[in-house]
Amino acid sequence: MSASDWSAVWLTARLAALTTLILLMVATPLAWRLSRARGRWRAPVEALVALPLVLPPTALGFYLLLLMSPNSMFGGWWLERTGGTLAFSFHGLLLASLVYSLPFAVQPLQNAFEAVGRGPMEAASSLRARPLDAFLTVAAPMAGRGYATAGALVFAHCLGEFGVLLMVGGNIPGRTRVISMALFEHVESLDYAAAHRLAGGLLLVSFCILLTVALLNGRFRSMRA
Amino acid sequence: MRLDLDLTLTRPSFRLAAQGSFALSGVTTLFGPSGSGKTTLLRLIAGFEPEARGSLKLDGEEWLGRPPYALPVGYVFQDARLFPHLSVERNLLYAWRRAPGAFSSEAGTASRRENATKQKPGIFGRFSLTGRRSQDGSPIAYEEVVARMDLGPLLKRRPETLSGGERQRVAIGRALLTRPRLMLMDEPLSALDRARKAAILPLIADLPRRFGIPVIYVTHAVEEALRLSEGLILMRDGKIFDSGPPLEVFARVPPAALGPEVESGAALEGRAAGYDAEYQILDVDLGGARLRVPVEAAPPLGARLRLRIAAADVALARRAPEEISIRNALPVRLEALEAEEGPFLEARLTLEGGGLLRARLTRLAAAEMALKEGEELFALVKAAALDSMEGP
Repeated sequence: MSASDWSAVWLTARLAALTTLILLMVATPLAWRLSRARGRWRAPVEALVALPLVLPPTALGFYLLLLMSPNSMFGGWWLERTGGTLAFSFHGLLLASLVYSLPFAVQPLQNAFEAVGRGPMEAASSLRARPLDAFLTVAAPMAGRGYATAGALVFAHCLGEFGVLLMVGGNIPGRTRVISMALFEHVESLDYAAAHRLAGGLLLVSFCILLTVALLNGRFRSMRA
Repeated sequence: MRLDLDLTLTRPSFRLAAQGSFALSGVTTLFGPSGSGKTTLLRLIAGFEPEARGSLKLDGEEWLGRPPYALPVGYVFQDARLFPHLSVERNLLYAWRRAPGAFSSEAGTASRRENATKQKPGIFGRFSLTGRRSQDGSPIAYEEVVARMDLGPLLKRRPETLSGGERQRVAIGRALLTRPRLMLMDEPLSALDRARKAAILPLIADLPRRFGIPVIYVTHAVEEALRLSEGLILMRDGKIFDSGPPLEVFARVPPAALGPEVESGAALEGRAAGYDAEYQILDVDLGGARLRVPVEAAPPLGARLRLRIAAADVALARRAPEEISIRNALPVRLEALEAEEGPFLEARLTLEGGGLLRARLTRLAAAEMALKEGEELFALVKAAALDSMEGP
């Protein structure tokens, strides 16, 4: 594999790992609130969170690009604070990736928290655990399967991102070129051997991750039974 | 402990409005048919119903508006609610390490959390030294609770491997380990069979004396109320219908108020006055009237007994019957005919010495005998259930 391919692999791995880490933290309070909510805000928020699942990645990327442009409020603020533009940078990729993968973190966690239900949290509360304490010691461990699923899905999903990242990152070698873009370039230039190496690697890694999730779910199921 | 209530809680399909002042000592039963609001009231005392309005005072201290984790109550749920991801031991320690005053000063500060999360038998030993009888004089200590509830053999087990009875014992122990000032129990035995119930009831009855805390116990089973409690609060349609010593409440309220699950009848108190070993018949002195009850093992003479006599097991006669297999014909006074229901009605009767009985008979029988309120009759008692062999 060429040095530029290796740098794409390294960039993708970093992006996926950071996205997973940040999303699990960000999605936790959001999923928790959604799992408890009964009010009229629940449906619109759920729809908003699920939007990246159905929106064309290019459409999402387009809006993110507008958001990141130095002319926008957020993009301008970022330029002022950091001295660099958000678009076409690693941070831009990361932000796009976070938005794009949000539903893959929120939905498994929300399901897991709903499965925990109110009972154990009430029990914890009656045993003098304050809400955060009860969450960390009861709800989060009981939702362990949800965390495993969410983490694996987000990571695997990040490996395969293309459209959004292309719009926001612009395929700059060494800076914003991820595996899927490098793969696209190889196919464009008819270098099928190089394309096979990347595509095959992605296939294998993604399969292993999903297999782990399936096995984990099986183990948790039999533990509960 | 004194409980003062003046509460309302409004739900779309239900409204609770509870007023009253109650002395809580020993076990107090919160009794009533399903849907009467007893569990809601219990949850409200524990702080689980923040929408409640009004006032709820324990010994003059306002509890309403405080979250559950800030209230000194132990709560035993109907479904135990042990944490499935923790062993029995760690379930118990979950409560113990959050209980006030459970650790001495040196064990209680920095290392407390770490100790509790990765306990080893060795560290356990240290707990017991500091916790056996705590500095604050509370009799609730880890080892004492484990021993009383017989949890030693279960410590390493996981909750899903426990039987229903074991689960509730762990749940009671865990609630005790929060060192509550008041224990709240929501039908903890409802899912258990008769034998398991009988094994756990004495443990519950013993809690107030052993650990010095009053218990409020929700049930709709008359025998549990009689067996356990010194006081009873009867709920109906979200209101407190009556309260007092269980025998008195059961005697004075109309049977319908107890709900459809409760077989109509009367509860009586008496003493073991003699035992015929050959025929295995116990003589019970009801304070005037005498009742003969078949029992296989005799309680000691003089023991206080509680009996339940179902209305369906009592017949009425105008003259003392002869040549009849029923051994109990007690002289009674007919107080009232009430609770008509289809072809049946119920006669409320007083025994010599003041005890109350109920008899279920057909309206036809009452009409043909021309029963009149106030007249003297004989109550033929076919069966009686002995509820408690030692009394409270």
